[in-house]
Amino acid sequence: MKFAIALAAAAIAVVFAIRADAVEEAPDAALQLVEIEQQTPYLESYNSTIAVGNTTQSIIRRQGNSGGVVFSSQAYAQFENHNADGSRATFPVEVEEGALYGISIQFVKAPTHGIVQVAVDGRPLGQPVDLYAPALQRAEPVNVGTLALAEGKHTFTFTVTAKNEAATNYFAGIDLVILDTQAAVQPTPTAVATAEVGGEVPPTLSLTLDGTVGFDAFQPGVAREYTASTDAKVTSTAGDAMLSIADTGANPGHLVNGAYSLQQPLHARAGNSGDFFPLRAAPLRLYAYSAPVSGHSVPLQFRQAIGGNEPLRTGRYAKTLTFTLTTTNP
Amino acid sequence: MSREGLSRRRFIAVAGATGGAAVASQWPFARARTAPPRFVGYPFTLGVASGDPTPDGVVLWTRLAPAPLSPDGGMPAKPYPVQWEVAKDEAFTNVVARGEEIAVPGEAHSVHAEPAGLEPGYEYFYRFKANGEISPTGRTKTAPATAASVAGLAFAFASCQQYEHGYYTAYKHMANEDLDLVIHLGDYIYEYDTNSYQVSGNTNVRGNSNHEIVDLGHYRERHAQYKSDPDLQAAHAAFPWLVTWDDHEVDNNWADDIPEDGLPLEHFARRRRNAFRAYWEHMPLRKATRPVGKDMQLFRRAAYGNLASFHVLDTRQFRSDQACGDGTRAGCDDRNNPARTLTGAQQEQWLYNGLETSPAKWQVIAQQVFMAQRDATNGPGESYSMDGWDGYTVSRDKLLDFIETREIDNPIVITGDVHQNWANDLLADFSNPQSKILGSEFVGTSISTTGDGNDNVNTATMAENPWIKYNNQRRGYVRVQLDQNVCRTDYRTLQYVKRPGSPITTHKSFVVEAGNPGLKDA
Repeated sequence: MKFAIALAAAAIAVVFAIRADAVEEAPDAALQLVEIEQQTPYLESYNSTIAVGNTTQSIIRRQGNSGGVVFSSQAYAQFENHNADGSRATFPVEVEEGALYGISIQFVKAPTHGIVQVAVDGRPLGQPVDLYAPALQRAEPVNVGTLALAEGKHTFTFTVTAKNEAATNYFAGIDLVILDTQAAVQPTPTAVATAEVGGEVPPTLSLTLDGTVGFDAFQPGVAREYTASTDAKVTSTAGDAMLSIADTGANPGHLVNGAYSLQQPLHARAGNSGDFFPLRAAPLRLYAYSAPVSGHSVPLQFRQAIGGNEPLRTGRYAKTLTFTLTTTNP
Repeated sequence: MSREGLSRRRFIAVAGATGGAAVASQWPFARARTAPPRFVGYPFTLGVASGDPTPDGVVLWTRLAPAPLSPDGGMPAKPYPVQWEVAKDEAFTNVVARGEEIAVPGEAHSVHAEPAGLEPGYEYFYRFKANGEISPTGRTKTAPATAASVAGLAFAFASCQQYEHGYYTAYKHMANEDLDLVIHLGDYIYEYDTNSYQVSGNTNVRGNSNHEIVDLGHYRERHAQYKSDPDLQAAHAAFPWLVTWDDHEVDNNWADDIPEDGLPLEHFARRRRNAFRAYWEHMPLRKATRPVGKDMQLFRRAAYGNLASFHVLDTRQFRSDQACGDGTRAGCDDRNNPARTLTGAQQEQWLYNGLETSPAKWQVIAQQVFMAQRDATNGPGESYSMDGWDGYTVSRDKLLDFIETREIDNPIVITGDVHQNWANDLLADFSNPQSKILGSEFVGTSISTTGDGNDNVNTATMAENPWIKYNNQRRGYVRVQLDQNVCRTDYRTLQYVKRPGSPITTHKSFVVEAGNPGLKDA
């Protein structure tokens, strides 16, 4: 949900408005099932010539149905790793469509299996999964996390990090990787509030705008830069966050008064120094957080230049601006 | 020499004046002027790197590759802005430089940012931002001021990292060293298809894409695959690197315009161009070194105050074709042909000029192939590798003669290529083992090429070539510590690389005393 701040000036009036923006439509669902044993494991521990049972090296091999247990496409990838050394099995996976995916892994459990950490393109995803079971079995899919994956070739790495005391070896079994946009946890994208509303914020991201924003009255025939400011208070539990501002109204970036608009764009900046940037329809990224913050106060400053010969129409020049606090790492 | 945290690294001791403007700011990445178009995915899958340090700057590298193993890295064919910033602290509370680069498809969306105005001999942290994502943090270090009196510095050199042959455990250990610089002497990638280059017993432990790389997309994919290794990424993120190539970045034993095998020359020229481009795209090299056509300016120098000058050579791009059909040959007179060159005339003169004018105590010649004479035939008769300096004896003789007659003090040659550790004295006349010692050559083993290795010592070759003082056949790298009096060299070796996790030990150490050339046991 988005709210908005209205920034206006004419007869001094500045009005905060509330506007509920529609939630962006979800993209078309994409689902891709990856039979991991059918991917050439060309990155790690691949050696077709090593005999099964060799205790000094690890191999990956295709293992068919066994003991009455049926696997997806009749087989799974068995990572035969005898060592407590963090050996990795990596598979290239061609993602057919770039999207935000919920990633689920259908593992295979067995008495010989250890505890496995999944990583995609080298970044760990989710918590380690214990693949020990007293008997061979196909496990239910485990949702290990949500990742935005570009179309193209990625690496899926399975690292045996440890083993259950009951497990007799450091093997792992992977049957299927499920990439499903509908299983993706959508990032908590926005939390925006007006000064008047305050308080009504999601638990992980909050943005509050303090005080009244007001320019002095615009005076015709006087070339001048008008300034106004307010403070944003940001609380974020996300790993990173970005405070942005956008003007999605008519004649983006310009204050309007009915059919009239100011010639020069409204500018904004975060902080009390540095450059002002012109507003526009696309989000202008004002401030980046690389760590969680609580109640961090960010000065927001606005600047409007009016030329000496610029015609001004009686009334209120105003615009509703949308501030957003977003994260890709909730 | 191990460290527990980045912040505990020692600085180079610098007595000269320092300068540089600090621009403290609490507004990370606030200067983005436009809302860049978005693409899908995390872009920093290949990590970050820095290189070519100068007293006031360093190259910062990354590549946007949300699908790292695709030829285009998974990026749309559009330019994208990438912000970077440099800080004095790992938390980036004291940012001293920032900027924006445009990553373009024609350069594989690689970034080669060149911040200036940094302080000499200083440790910095850097990171990038693109697509709303922040990269891992890298640590780097500028070179000391040009006129600085430098008390000491430490660097490591490495080479030959065939991905299929083993894990990069050596880099995992290297990342924990306390170093000012890493030098890579080539064979950063290998061009082969899967399993066509096997370790002994046909027991490769990792694999490549299953084709020999020729096209630009192939080279990009191979570089990306190598760069996906977490241990290699860690070593890049920990230190600035000086890189040069050997043969496998292009084609085994290529020589200027000549391929190893029968590829038509016009096709090899295109292949070489592709390889050069991909190499530049994936290394922390300056924009000025971007290949032009099929040529790339790679030989260059790095100065570390009055302590060391690093003369980084390119012995592939300008060399004459290997004599007598390459390989190890006996009775090959052509290797002594004065018309043949290993470095090319221009680079040779550049090297001589640099050696003669450098004010530094140690002249470190960072290059690819075995420089000392190495007769490979035990007993009567002689045979030599046609690919090393033995195959270009006039080039070697001229260089050693220059060092002797111009009284170049304290030359140290560091070498890769041959997948074994060696330590050699460089003599004025190799036909007379008693002749004057002019300097020493340290040949580093491979990071992974040829697998685990063994503890055998090639005593026959050492007996045949008495200026060769040491041989070892394990994997690892070489650590060098320089001060105004001594060059200390530690051969760091692993027990195995075909499994991850080997411990590392110092197998052998040498010292060379300033002003008193010749290897001495440490």
